[in-house]
Amino acid sequence: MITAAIIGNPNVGKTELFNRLTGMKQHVGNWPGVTVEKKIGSYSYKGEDIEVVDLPGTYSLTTLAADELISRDYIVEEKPDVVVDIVDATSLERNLYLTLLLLELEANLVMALNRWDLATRRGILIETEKLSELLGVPIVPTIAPTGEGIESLKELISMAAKAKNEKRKIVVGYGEKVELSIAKVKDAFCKDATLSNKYPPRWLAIKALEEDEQVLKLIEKSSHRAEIMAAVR
Amino acid sequence: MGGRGVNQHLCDMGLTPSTKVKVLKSNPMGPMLIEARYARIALGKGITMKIMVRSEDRI
Repeated sequence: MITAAIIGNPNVGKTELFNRLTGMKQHVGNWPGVTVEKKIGSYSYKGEDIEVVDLPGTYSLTTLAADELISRDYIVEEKPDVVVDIVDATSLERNLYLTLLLLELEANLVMALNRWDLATRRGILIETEKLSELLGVPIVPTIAPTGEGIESLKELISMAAKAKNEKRKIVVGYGEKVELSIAKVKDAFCKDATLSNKYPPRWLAIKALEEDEQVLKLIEKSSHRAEIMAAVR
Repeated sequence: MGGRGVNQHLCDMGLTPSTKVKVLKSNPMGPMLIEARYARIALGKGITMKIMVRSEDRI
Protein backbone atom coordinates (compact mmCIF):
# COMPACT_ATOMS: atom_id res chain seq x y z
CA MET A 1 0.00 0.00 0.00
CA ILE A 2 1.21 3.45 -0.96
CA THR A 3 0.52 6.41 1.30
CA ALA A 4 0.15 9.80 -0.34
CA ALA A 5 -0.41 13.04 1.56
CA ILE A 6 -2.06 16.00 -0.10
CA ILE A 7 -0.90 19.46 0.84
CA GLY A 8 -1.25 22.99 -0.54
CA ASN A 9 -2.13 26.59 0.23
CA PRO A 10 -5.72 27.27 1.31
CA ASN A 11 -8.19 27.66 -1.57
CA VAL A 12 -6.26 25.97 -4.32
CA GLY A 13 -8.86 23.28 -4.91
CA LYS A 14 -7.12 20.79 -2.66
CA THR A 15 -10.23 19.15 -1.27
CA GLU A 16 -11.89 18.98 -4.65
CA LEU A 17 -8.85 17.22 -6.03
CA PHE A 18 -8.83 14.90 -3.03
CA ASN A 19 -12.45 14.01 -3.75
CA ARG A 20 -11.62 13.45 -7.41
CA LEU A 21 -8.84 11.05 -6.47
CA THR A 22 -10.69 9.07 -3.84
CA GLY A 23 -14.29 9.31 -5.00
CA MET A 24 -16.66 8.34 -2.23
CA LYS A 25 -14.17 6.15 -0.40
CA GLN A 26 -13.16 8.37 2.47
CA HIS A 27 -13.68 8.89 6.12
CA VAL A 28 -13.40 11.94 8.29
CA GLY A 29 -11.95 12.14 11.77
CA ASN A 30 -9.85 14.50 13.81
CA TRP A 31 -6.13 14.82 14.23
CA PRO A 32 -5.28 13.71 17.76
CA GLY A 33 -5.59 16.48 20.30
CA VAL A 34 -6.89 19.18 18.00
CA THR A 35 -10.15 19.93 16.27
CA VAL A 36 -8.64 20.01 12.82
CA GLU A 37 -10.39 17.69 10.43
CA LYS A 38 -8.49 14.64 9.23
CA LYS A 39 -9.67 13.12 5.99
CA ILE A 40 -8.42 9.82 4.69
CA GLY A 41 -9.48 8.22 1.45
CA SER A 42 -8.25 5.59 -0.91
CA TYR A 43 -8.28 4.49 -4.51
CA SER A 44 -6.66 1.79 -6.49
CA TYR A 45 -4.51 2.31 -9.54
CA LYS A 46 -3.33 -0.55 -11.73
CA GLY A 47 -4.06 -3.07 -9.01
CA GLU A 48 -2.32 -1.14 -6.27
CA ASP A 49 -4.06 0.46 -3.30
CA ILE A 50 -3.22 4.04 -2.52
CA GLU A 51 -4.21 5.66 0.75
CA VAL A 52 -4.62 9.43 0.53
CA VAL A 53 -4.41 11.75 3.53
CA ASP A 54 -5.73 15.29 3.14
CA LEU A 55 -3.48 17.61 5.16
CA PRO A 56 -4.74 21.01 6.34
CA GLY A 57 -4.24 23.82 3.82
CA THR A 58 -1.34 26.02 4.88
CA TYR A 59 0.91 28.75 3.56
CA SER A 60 3.86 27.63 5.59
CA LEU A 61 5.15 24.92 7.91
CA THR A 62 5.99 26.74 11.11
CA THR A 63 5.19 25.52 14.60
CA LEU A 64 3.12 28.62 15.32
CA ALA A 65 -0.24 27.36 14.07
CA ALA A 66 -1.95 24.05 14.84
CA ASP A 67 -2.76 23.23 11.20
CA GLU A 68 0.76 23.95 9.99
CA LEU A 69 2.24 21.84 12.76
CA ILE A 70 -0.04 18.92 11.89
CA SER A 71 1.04 18.99 8.26
CA ARG A 72 4.68 19.25 9.18
CA ASP A 73 4.56 16.56 11.86
CA TYR A 74 2.80 14.24 9.50
CA ILE A 75 5.43 14.63 6.80
CA VAL A 76 8.37 14.50 9.20
CA GLU A 77 7.17 11.74 11.51
CA GLU A 78 4.93 9.53 9.39
CA LYS A 79 6.99 9.93 6.23
CA PRO A 80 4.31 9.29 3.58
CA ASP A 81 5.60 7.60 0.42
CA VAL A 82 4.55 10.56 -1.69
CA VAL A 83 3.55 14.14 -0.90
CA VAL A 84 1.27 15.72 -3.48
CA ASP A 85 1.72 19.48 -3.54
CA ILE A 86 -1.35 21.17 -5.00
CA VAL A 87 -0.29 24.46 -6.51
CA ASP A 88 -2.61 27.20 -7.76
CA ALA A 89 -1.42 27.83 -11.31
CA THR A 90 -2.85 31.37 -11.18
CA SER A 91 -0.57 32.42 -8.32
CA LEU A 92 2.55 30.38 -8.75
CA GLU A 93 4.87 32.80 -6.99
CA ARG A 94 3.04 32.63 -3.71
CA ASN A 95 2.38 28.90 -3.89
CA LEU A 96 5.96 27.91 -4.61
CA TYR A 97 7.04 29.06 -1.17
CA LEU A 98 5.38 26.05 0.41
CA THR A 99 6.89 23.87 -2.32
CA LEU A 100 10.37 25.01 -1.35
CA LEU A 101 9.65 24.29 2.31
CA LEU A 102 8.56 20.79 1.32
CA LEU A 103 11.71 20.27 -0.72
CA GLU A 104 13.71 21.34 2.30
CA LEU A 105 11.90 18.66 4.29
CA GLU A 106 13.08 16.25 1.60
CA ALA A 107 9.55 15.06 0.97
CA ASN A 108 9.03 12.84 -2.06
CA LEU A 109 7.09 15.45 -4.04
CA VAL A 110 4.69 15.36 -6.93
CA MET A 111 3.12 18.63 -8.04
CA ALA A 112 -0.36 19.23 -9.41
CA LEU A 113 -0.71 22.60 -11.14
CA ASN A 114 -4.37 23.05 -10.40
CA ARG A 115 -6.75 25.66 -11.81
CA TRP A 116 -4.85 25.24 -15.04
CA ASP A 117 -7.89 26.38 -17.07
CA LEU A 118 -8.18 29.63 -15.10
CA ALA A 119 -4.50 30.33 -15.54
CA THR A 120 -4.75 29.77 -19.30
CA ARG A 121 -7.76 32.05 -19.48
CA ARG A 122 -5.80 34.76 -17.70
CA GLY A 123 -3.00 34.40 -20.20
CA ILE A 124 -0.64 32.72 -17.76
CA LEU A 125 1.54 30.20 -19.54
CA ILE A 126 3.62 27.88 -17.41
CA GLU A 127 6.42 25.85 -18.89
CA THR A 128 5.77 22.73 -16.82
CA GLU A 129 8.73 20.81 -18.18
CA LYS A 130 11.14 23.60 -17.34
CA LEU A 131 9.61 24.07 -13.90
CA SER A 132 9.78 20.35 -13.27
CA GLU A 133 13.44 20.33 -14.24
CA LEU A 134 14.26 23.33 -12.01
CA LEU A 135 12.52 21.88 -8.97
CA GLY A 136 13.34 18.24 -9.59
CA VAL A 137 9.67 17.41 -9.12
CA PRO A 138 7.28 15.69 -11.54
CA ILE A 139 4.46 18.05 -12.47
CA VAL A 140 1.02 17.60 -13.99
CA PRO A 141 -1.54 20.30 -14.86
CA THR A 142 -4.97 19.56 -13.38
CA ILE A 143 -8.48 20.98 -13.48
CA ALA A 144 -10.27 19.68 -10.41
CA PRO A 145 -13.88 20.52 -11.42
CA THR A 146 -13.66 18.53 -14.66
CA GLY A 147 -11.24 15.91 -13.43
CA GLU A 148 -8.74 16.68 -16.13
CA GLY A 149 -5.22 15.50 -15.31
CA ILE A 150 -6.38 13.20 -12.49
CA GLU A 151 -5.35 10.03 -14.30
CA SER A 152 -1.90 11.46 -15.02
CA LEU A 153 -1.63 12.53 -11.40
CA LYS A 154 -2.40 8.99 -10.27
CA GLU A 155 0.28 7.70 -12.58
CA LEU A 156 2.84 10.21 -11.26
CA ILE A 157 2.00 9.27 -7.67
CA SER A 158 2.58 5.57 -8.34
CA MET A 159 5.78 6.30 -10.23
CA ALA A 160 7.10 8.60 -7.50
CA ALA A 161 6.36 5.98 -4.84
CA LYS A 162 8.57 3.54 -6.69
CA ALA A 163 11.38 6.02 -7.19
CA LYS A 164 11.28 6.96 -3.53
CA ASN A 165 14.94 6.67 -2.77
CA GLU A 166 16.26 8.68 -5.66
CA LYS A 167 18.35 11.55 -4.42
CA ARG A 168 16.93 15.01 -4.89
CA LYS A 169 19.25 17.39 -6.60
CA ILE A 170 17.55 20.61 -5.63
CA VAL A 171 18.89 22.48 -2.64
CA VAL A 172 17.52 25.88 -1.76
CA GLY A 173 20.55 28.11 -1.24
CA TYR A 174 20.69 30.92 1.33
CA GLY A 175 23.84 32.74 0.26
CA GLU A 176 27.43 32.19 1.26
CA LYS A 177 27.30 33.57 4.79
CA VAL A 178 24.24 31.63 5.92
CA GLU A 179 25.42 28.50 4.14
CA LEU A 180 28.60 28.51 6.26
CA SER A 181 26.48 28.48 9.42
CA ILE A 182 24.17 25.83 8.01
CA ALA A 183 27.12 23.59 7.16
CA LYS A 184 28.56 24.00 10.65
CA VAL A 185 25.28 23.15 12.39
CA LYS A 186 24.57 20.34 9.97
CA ASP A 187 27.91 18.72 10.77
CA ALA A 188 27.10 18.90 14.46
CA PHE A 189 23.70 17.29 13.86
CA CYS A 190 25.27 14.49 11.82
CA LYS A 191 27.20 13.36 14.90
CA ASP A 192 23.88 12.36 16.43
CA ALA A 193 23.00 9.36 14.30
CA THR A 194 19.50 8.90 15.73
CA LEU A 195 18.50 12.46 14.91
CA SER A 196 20.13 12.69 11.51
CA ASN A 197 18.68 9.38 10.39
CA LYS A 198 15.20 10.39 11.36
CA TYR A 199 15.23 13.96 10.06
CA PRO A 200 16.99 15.56 7.10
CA PRO A 201 20.16 17.08 8.68
CA ARG A 202 20.11 20.16 6.49
CA TRP A 203 16.51 20.84 7.46
CA LEU A 204 17.41 20.41 11.15
CA ALA A 205 20.26 22.88 10.74
CA ILE A 206 18.10 25.51 9.04
CA LYS A 207 15.34 25.15 11.61
CA ALA A 208 17.80 25.30 14.51
CA LEU A 209 19.17 28.57 13.13
CA GLU A 210 15.60 29.87 12.81
CA GLU A 211 15.16 28.97 16.48
CA ASP A 212 12.28 26.69 15.63
CA GLU A 213 10.71 25.59 18.92
CA GLN A 214 10.30 21.95 17.99
CA VAL A 215 13.81 21.51 16.66
CA LEU A 216 15.22 23.22 19.74
CA LYS A 217 13.34 20.65 21.79
CA LEU A 218 14.87 17.85 19.72
CA ILE A 219 18.31 19.27 20.43
CA GLU A 220 17.53 19.29 24.16
CA LYS A 221 17.02 15.55 24.02
CA SER A 222 20.07 14.87 21.87
CA SER A 223 23.12 13.10 23.21
CA HIS A 224 25.22 15.69 21.34
CA ARG A 225 23.28 18.64 22.75
CA ALA A 226 26.30 20.72 23.75
CA GLU A 227 28.05 20.37 20.39
CA ILE A 228 24.94 21.24 18.41
CA MET A 229 24.14 24.27 20.54
CA ALA A 230 27.71 25.48 20.27
CA ALA A 231 27.45 25.32 16.48
CA VAL A 232 24.11 27.17 16.48
CA ARG A 233 25.54 30.10 18.47
CA MET B 1 5.70 46.69 12.74
CA GLY B 2 4.43 43.49 14.26
CA GLY B 3 6.14 40.88 16.35
CA ARG B 4 7.92 37.90 14.93
CA GLY B 5 4.76 35.84 14.56
CA VAL B 6 2.92 38.50 12.56
CA ASN B 7 5.89 39.15 10.30
CA GLN B 8 6.40 35.46 9.69
CA HIS B 9 2.75 34.94 8.87
CA LEU B 10 2.64 37.86 6.43
CA CYS B 11 5.78 36.61 4.70
CA ASP B 12 4.31 33.12 4.45
CA MET B 13 1.34 34.60 2.59
CA GLY B 14 3.67 36.35 0.17
CA LEU B 15 3.68 39.76 1.82
CA THR B 16 7.41 40.20 2.13
CA PRO B 17 8.84 43.73 2.53
CA SER B 18 8.43 45.92 -0.61
CA THR B 19 5.78 43.68 -2.15
CA LYS B 20 3.36 45.61 -4.37
CA VAL B 21 -0.18 45.40 -3.11
CA LYS B 22 -3.50 46.65 -4.42
CA VAL B 23 -6.39 47.34 -2.10
CA LEU B 24 -9.51 45.78 -3.59
CA LYS B 25 -11.91 46.42 -0.76
CA SER B 26 -11.50 48.28 2.45
CA ASN B 27 -13.87 48.58 5.32
CA PRO B 28 -12.90 51.20 7.90
CA MET B 29 -14.49 49.06 10.60
CA GLY B 30 -12.86 45.79 9.76
CA PRO B 31 -11.17 43.58 7.25
CA MET B 32 -9.45 44.54 4.03
CA LEU B 33 -9.15 42.63 0.80
CA ILE B 34 -5.88 43.07 -1.02
CA GLU B 35 -4.19 41.63 -4.04
CA ALA B 36 -0.52 40.71 -3.98
CA ARG B 37 1.47 38.42 -6.27
CA TYR B 38 -1.68 37.56 -8.22
CA ALA B 39 -3.38 36.31 -5.08
CA ARG B 40 -6.18 37.85 -3.12
CA ILE B 41 -5.67 38.00 0.59
CA ALA B 42 -8.15 39.09 3.24
CA LEU B 43 -6.57 40.68 6.28
CA GLY B 44 -8.15 41.59 9.60
CA LYS B 45 -7.96 45.09 11.00
CA GLY B 46 -5.55 44.03 13.72
CA ILE B 47 -3.00 42.97 11.20
CA THR B 48 -3.54 45.73 8.60
CA MET B 49 -2.85 48.33 11.27
CA LYS B 50 0.61 46.88 11.61
CA ILE B 51 1.52 47.22 7.94
CA MET B 52 3.19 50.36 6.62
CA VAL B 53 2.80 51.18 2.94
CA ARG B 54 4.09 53.73 0.45
CA SER B 55 2.11 54.84 -2.58
CA GLU B 56 3.63 53.53 -5.77
CA ASP B 57 4.24 56.90 -7.49
CA ARG B 58 6.47 57.99 -4.62
CA ILE B 59 8.89 55.07 -4.76
